[in-house]
Amino acid sequence: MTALDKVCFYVADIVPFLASLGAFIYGVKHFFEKGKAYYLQIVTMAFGCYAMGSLYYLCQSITAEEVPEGFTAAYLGRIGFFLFLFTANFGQMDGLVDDRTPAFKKFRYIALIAPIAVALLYVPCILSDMLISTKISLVFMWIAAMCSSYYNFKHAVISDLGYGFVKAIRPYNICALILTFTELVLHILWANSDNCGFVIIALVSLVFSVMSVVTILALKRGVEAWKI
Amino acid sequence: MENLIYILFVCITIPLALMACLIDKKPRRIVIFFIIGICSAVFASEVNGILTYLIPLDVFDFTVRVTPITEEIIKAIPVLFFAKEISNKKETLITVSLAVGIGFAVMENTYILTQNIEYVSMLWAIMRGFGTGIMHGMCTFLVGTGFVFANKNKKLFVVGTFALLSLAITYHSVFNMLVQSDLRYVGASLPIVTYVPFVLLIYKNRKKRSVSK
Repeated sequence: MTALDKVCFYVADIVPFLASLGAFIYGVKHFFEKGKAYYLQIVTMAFGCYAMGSLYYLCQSITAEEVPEGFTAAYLGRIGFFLFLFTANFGQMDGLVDDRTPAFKKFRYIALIAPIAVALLYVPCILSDMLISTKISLVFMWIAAMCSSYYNFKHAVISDLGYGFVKAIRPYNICALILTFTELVLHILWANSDNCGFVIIALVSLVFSVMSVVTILALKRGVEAWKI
Repeated sequence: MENLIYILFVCITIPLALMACLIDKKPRRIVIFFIIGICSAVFASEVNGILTYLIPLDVFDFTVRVTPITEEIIKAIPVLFFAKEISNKKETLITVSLAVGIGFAVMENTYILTQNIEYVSMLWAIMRGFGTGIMHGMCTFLVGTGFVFANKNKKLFVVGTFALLSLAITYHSVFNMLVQSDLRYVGASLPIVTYVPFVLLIYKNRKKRSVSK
């Protein structure tokens, strides 16, 4: 590994951790006051989960001589991240934005594009030379990502019922969708790090980090607009 | 000595169980869930013992990848049962979850102490007390507190609980990894770093409540 590769390797580990931790702290500060919506608190917890998973990777890089393959707790951090995003939209918001009438049927179908795209992203993982246990671990993460992406995309494209929820939260949902895809691309790149190099991984990690911050800011802005 | 964990279990739980019969409802609940935490530790040690035969990993990998999962699930079961069937009040659930976590940590620390009696020191005790003790308490506290929200909506229940467990398991794994590496002091201080903001937050809320009264 060259010096540049080493720098990129640590950048790819540290920057997403700091960004997600920053997003989590920002969320705790602004969304955990009494009377704030659970939706916001659940999204904040998603960033906490991601930060914990990233901390695991970071500690692993620092302490272990070789990064072990197969299942690690960091995958649970990622699965938790997607499940929290999914729970926020499915459990808290979906009932408000979709009244189950046939008028919204087309949006329910259009939203399927996102999970299908996520599923297609798994193909490079199957073709990579990862251990079968790693591939199986990633399946669970991919399923969680498919669930969260469906609702993020649905809430990004669905028309507003007139309450203003959808319009206010739309930028957040678009950001969360980009965040989901960036995270999955990162996993594909890590799986093929011998071919693509650490510079690209570091760059995509930086994109992810920026998107983490933008997502939580978009959420706060959306909530403020929603109140008005 | 064989069955040492059961000997310790009997020694610790009998006086606690007898005491629980004599005290009021609120402290009794704490003592009972403390005992349940101890039972969880014994059960977890048996499950981990079986898994060591089934999953061929070295001690480091096993404690980083497997034990956090088994221990967090086993600790969460009584808390989830209490929240679902008995009471979902935030204050009660926080108390119960902390009691289970600390009971678990006490039993684990005591057992590990007896296994390493030649090597233990005051520094070891401080690290175990501030590190493992608080870590177990914090993980169960996290699941218990989060479950107050997850239990409010049927749609949130399963996925929310799984997500909370994921968070607790990852936290536990990071701690286990650090305390077994050269960064063991950083690892031992991790629970304190997370514990202090929670304490400050709880005191701030209590102060707010007392002012509003």
